[in-house]
Amino acid sequence: MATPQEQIKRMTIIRHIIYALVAAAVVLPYIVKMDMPFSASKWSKKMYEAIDKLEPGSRVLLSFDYDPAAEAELYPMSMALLRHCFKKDLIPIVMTHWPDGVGMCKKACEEAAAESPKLWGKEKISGRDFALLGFRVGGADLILNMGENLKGAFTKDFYDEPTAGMAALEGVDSLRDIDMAVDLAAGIHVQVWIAYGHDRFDFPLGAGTTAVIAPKLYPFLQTDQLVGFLGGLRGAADYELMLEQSGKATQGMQAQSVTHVLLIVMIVVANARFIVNRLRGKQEA
Amino acid sequence: MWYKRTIPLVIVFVIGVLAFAHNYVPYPEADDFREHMTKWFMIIGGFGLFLGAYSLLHMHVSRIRRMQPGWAYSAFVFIGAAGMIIVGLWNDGYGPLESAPSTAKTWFDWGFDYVQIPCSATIFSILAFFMASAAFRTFRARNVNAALLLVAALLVMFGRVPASESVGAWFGQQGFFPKIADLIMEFPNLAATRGILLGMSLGAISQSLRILFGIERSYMGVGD
Amino acid sequence: MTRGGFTALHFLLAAVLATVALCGGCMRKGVRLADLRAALPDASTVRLYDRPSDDGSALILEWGKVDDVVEGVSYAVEVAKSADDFETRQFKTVKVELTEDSLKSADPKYFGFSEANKKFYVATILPAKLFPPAGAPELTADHIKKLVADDVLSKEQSKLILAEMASDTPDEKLTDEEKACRKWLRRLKLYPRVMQLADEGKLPESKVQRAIRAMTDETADDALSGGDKADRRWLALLAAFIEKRDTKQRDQAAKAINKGVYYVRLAATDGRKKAYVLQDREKVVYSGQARVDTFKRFKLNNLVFALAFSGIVLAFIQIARRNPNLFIRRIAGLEAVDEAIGRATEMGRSVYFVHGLGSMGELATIAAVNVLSRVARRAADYDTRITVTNINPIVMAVSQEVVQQAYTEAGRPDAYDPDDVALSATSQFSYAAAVTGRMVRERPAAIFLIGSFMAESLLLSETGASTGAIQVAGTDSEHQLPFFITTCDYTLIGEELYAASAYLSREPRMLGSLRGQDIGKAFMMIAMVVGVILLTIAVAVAWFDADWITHLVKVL
Repeated sequence: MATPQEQIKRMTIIRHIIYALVAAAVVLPYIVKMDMPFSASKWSKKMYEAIDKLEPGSRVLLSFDYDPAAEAELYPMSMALLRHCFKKDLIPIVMTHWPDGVGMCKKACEEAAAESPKLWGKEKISGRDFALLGFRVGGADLILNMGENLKGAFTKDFYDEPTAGMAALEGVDSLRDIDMAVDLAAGIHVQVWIAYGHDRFDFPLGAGTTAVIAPKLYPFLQTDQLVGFLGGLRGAADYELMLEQSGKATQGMQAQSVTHVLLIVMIVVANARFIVNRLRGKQEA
Repeated sequence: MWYKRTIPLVIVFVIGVLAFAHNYVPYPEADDFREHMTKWFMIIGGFGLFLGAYSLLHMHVSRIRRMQPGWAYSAFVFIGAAGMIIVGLWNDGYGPLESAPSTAKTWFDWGFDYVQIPCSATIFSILAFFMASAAFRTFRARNVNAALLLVAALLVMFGRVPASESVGAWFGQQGFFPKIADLIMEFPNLAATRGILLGMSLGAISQSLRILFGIERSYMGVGD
Repeated sequence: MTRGGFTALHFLLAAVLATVALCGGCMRKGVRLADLRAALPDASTVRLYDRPSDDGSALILEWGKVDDVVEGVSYAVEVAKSADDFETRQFKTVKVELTEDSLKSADPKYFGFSEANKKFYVATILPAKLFPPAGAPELTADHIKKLVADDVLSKEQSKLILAEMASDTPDEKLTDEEKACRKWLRRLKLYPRVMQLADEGKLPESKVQRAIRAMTDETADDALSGGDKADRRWLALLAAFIEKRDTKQRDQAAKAINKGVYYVRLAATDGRKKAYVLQDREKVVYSGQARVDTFKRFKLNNLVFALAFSGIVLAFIQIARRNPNLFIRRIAGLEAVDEAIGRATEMGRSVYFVHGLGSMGELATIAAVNVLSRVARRAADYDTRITVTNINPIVMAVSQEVVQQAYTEAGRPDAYDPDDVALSATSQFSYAAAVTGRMVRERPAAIFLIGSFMAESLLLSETGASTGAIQVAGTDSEHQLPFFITTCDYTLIGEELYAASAYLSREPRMLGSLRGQDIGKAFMMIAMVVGVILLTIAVAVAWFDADWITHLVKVL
C-alpha cells in the first residue's frame, strides 16, 4: 500500500501527464484540419430568429458585461451579434457594466464596422449606424436610470459625443423604446438585466454567457424571460453557423470537441481502473 | 462596550427594517433613501480601498524585512504598483487631473492591455487543465448516485460538441446526443437547481432575520 | 370622330373622375357621427380616480367597454388644468386604441385580476408628462447679440456661431473645423443658464466673468494652455453642477405638477371628428387629483408570505429559548470543521480561509464572515495560525476585526498578526493567482473556501487538493457547486452555508431559526405539490377555474 506522500507524488505525475494531453488536444486541431459538421442548438436558433425578424432600423441594445478574461468565449459572440445587426441594418447600442469591458466593446464595434463594407457592402458609422455608449457605474441602478431616461444615464458616448441628438439614438428615450436587448455576461448580470430591465420595461431579452454560467439560465428560458441564449463557445459557433460567417468560435469547436472526447476517454479509463481495482480488492478479501 | 455592540445593532435593525419597508411603499422618498444608502455604501467602499492598499503593502513590507522565502515576489508587488501609479499620474503628459482623450493609448492602457489582461486570461485558461485533472481524479462510479451523475455528465459533455453529431450521423440520428444533453439540462438539472434555489432563499430570509434581530452578530467581531 | 363627340368623351371621363374623387372623399371622411356616438360608453360607467399603489404620478380614467364598435374608432381623453381651458382649446389629448392592451385587465399590477376588468378601458394620465415643467432657458440669437455688444465676441465669431446654430448637418458629415465650432457652441449654450444663476444671486460676479471667458474662448481643448485650460475644466464642473441642479428642480416641479387637480373629457373619434360623452346635452367634465399612496397593494402576497415566514422563524426562536434541546439534522461539512482544525494543529501547519469574490452586502459573504469568526475562535483555542486572503477591502477590515476578537476571546490577543488577514488583489484572477500561490507556498493543512465564487472556484479548490490539504467549501453560487463537490472533502450547499454559523455556535436561539426555516420549507413543498395537483386537475377536467392559484403567487 502506498503512503499518502507516495500517493500525492503519483497523482502529481498523473496530473502532469493530463495537462500535457489537454495541451495537445487543444493545439492539435489548429495543426491538423478536421471537418466536423454541426447544427445550431435550439436556444441559439431562437436567439438568432428573434434578432433576424426585427425590421431594419430597429434598436438592439447589446450589453457586453465581461472582461478580457472571458474574451475567448464571449468576444466571438459579440462579433457574431454585431455582424448580424449590421447585415440586417439594425442599429446596435453597445454598453457595458464592467469597467474592463470598455475595451471589448470598442474593439468589437470598430472591428465589425471596419469589415462591414467588405462583408455586406454597407458602411457603418458610429453615432449613425451604431452607438457605442461605453461604461457607467451603477449596475441595477444604471438599468433603472436607463429605463427612465437613457440619454440622461449616458449623456455622452464613448467618443465623448453627446447622446442627445445622436442619429442612432433618435426616438430612444428610455429602455421602453428599444426593440431587443442582449446581455453577454461573464458574471451575474443576466439576472440583473432580467429583474431590473426586462421585467420592468418590457423588452425582449436574450443572453449569452460563458459555459460555466449557462446552466444558471435555464429557469429563465422556461418562463420566457429570455427569448434565447448562447452558451459558451458552442453558442457563438452556432450563431456563426446560422450567419454563415465562420469565425473564431467555429475554429474553436474542433479543439473543444477533441478536448471533450479526451476528457470522456480519461474518465472512462479512470473508472475502468477503479472498478477493476475494486473487484480485485473484493477477491483478495 | 455599548458603542461596539448596541449602536451597530440599532443601526442594523433600523436600516434593515427601512430597507424591507422600501419594497412595499410607493413613496418617491423611499427611492431617494435607497439611493442615499447606495451612495454611502460606495463612499465607504472608496475609503476601504485605502485600508486595503495599506494592508497589502504592509504585509509585503514585513515579508521583505523578514526575508521570508519568496520575498522577491513581494518586491515585485512594489515595482508593479509603483510603475502603474507613475504612468497613471503622468497620463501621457495630460497629468492626473485631466483625462486623456478616449482615443489615445496611454502607457497605463498599455500596462493594462498587455500585462494585466494576458495574465488574467492565462490564469483563466488554466481552468481547462484543472477541469481535466479534477474530473479524472474524482469522477468515480462509487455508488448508484455517483454512477448516475457520471453517466449524465458524460452525455452532456459529449452532446455539447460537434463530434457527437458526427457520431450520431453514423447511426442516422445526427441530433440524438445534443437532444439528450438538452433534456438533461432542461429537466433534471433545472429541477435540482430550483430546489437548491428555494432552500437557499428560505435560508437567506432566516439568516437576515437573525442578523436583523441581533441574534447573529459574529460578523461584528462580537461574541455571543 | 367629330369634335362634339370628342368633347362628350371628355365630359364622360371628367364625370367618372369626379365620382371616384367624391367616393374617395367619402371614404376619407371616415366613420359616421352616429357610429362614433354609438361607440361612447354610458356616462355612469366613466370614472376618474387616482392610480392605486403608485407614487402619485398618474390618474386613471376608466369607462365601460362598448361592444360592436365600427372599425376606425378610437378614444381621445382630453386633459386640461381647468374646466375653462377646454373652451380656449388649451388641453392635451391621450389617445386610446381599442386593443386588449388598453383594457383594465392588461395591467393587473394596479387593477388586480378580476374578470370584470375585461369590460373596462382605461387611460393612464401622467400630468407631468402632459404638462412638462418649463425647461431651462435656451441660447438665442439675442444672447449672441448681447455678447457682441459687450465686446466679448467679435462680429466674425458671432456670424460663425449663428451659422452653426442654424445648421442641422449631422455630426458625422462635419469637417474637423465645423466639429470644433459645434463643440464651442455646446459650451456657449451654458450662457443663459449661467446668467440665470447670476440673476438669482447664486454665482458671484467674478465667477460669472470666468465662466463667460471660458465659454466664449473658441480655442480647441488640446490647444489650450495654463490658466485657460484650468478655466475650461472648471467650466465643465460648473456645467455638471447646473445639470444636476436642473434635474433636481425638474423633479420637484414635476411633483408639484402631479399634485394639481385635472379636468378630463372623453370622446370617441375617427381621427377627425369627435363625439363626446354627454349628460343633459352637456359635455361631461370629470375632475380628479393624483396622490401618493401608502402601500403597493400588488405586493400584498409577497408581504403576507414574508411576514408569515418571519413569524414562524421568530416563533421557533422563542420556542428554542424555552426548550434548548432542539434536534437539528447533522451537517457533515460543519462536523468536519473541528477535524480540519485539529489536523492543522497536529501537523503544525496553518488554517487558510478564503471568502471568495463577494462584497459585504452579499449574504454569502456575511455568512462566510460568521463562519470565519467561529473557525478563528477554534484556531485560537488550539493555538493554530489562521490566515485569510481578501479581494474586497471592506470584507478585509471586517475579517481583521473578527479574527482579532477571536484571539482576544481566547485570551491570546498578542498572537494576532494583522498581516495574516490581508488584501491580495481587487481583480478576480489576480486574486486567484495570489490565493493559489499562497496555498502552494505555505501548504496549509486545512483550507476553507466559503463565500461567493465564480470562475476561479476550481482554480482554488483543485490547487488546494493538489497540496493534500483537507478542504471544506461552502457557497450559494450554485453553478460553482459541482467544482467544489468534486474537489473538496466537504461542501456546504446554499442554505447549509447560511446555517453554518448557527450550527457551529450551538446557541439555542440560532438553532431555533434553523428549525423555523425547515418548517417554512415543508410548507413550500406541500404548497407546491397541492398547487400542481389542483392546476393539473383544473386543466384536465376544466370543472373549475384555478387561475386564482397562479394569481396568488404572481410577482407583479
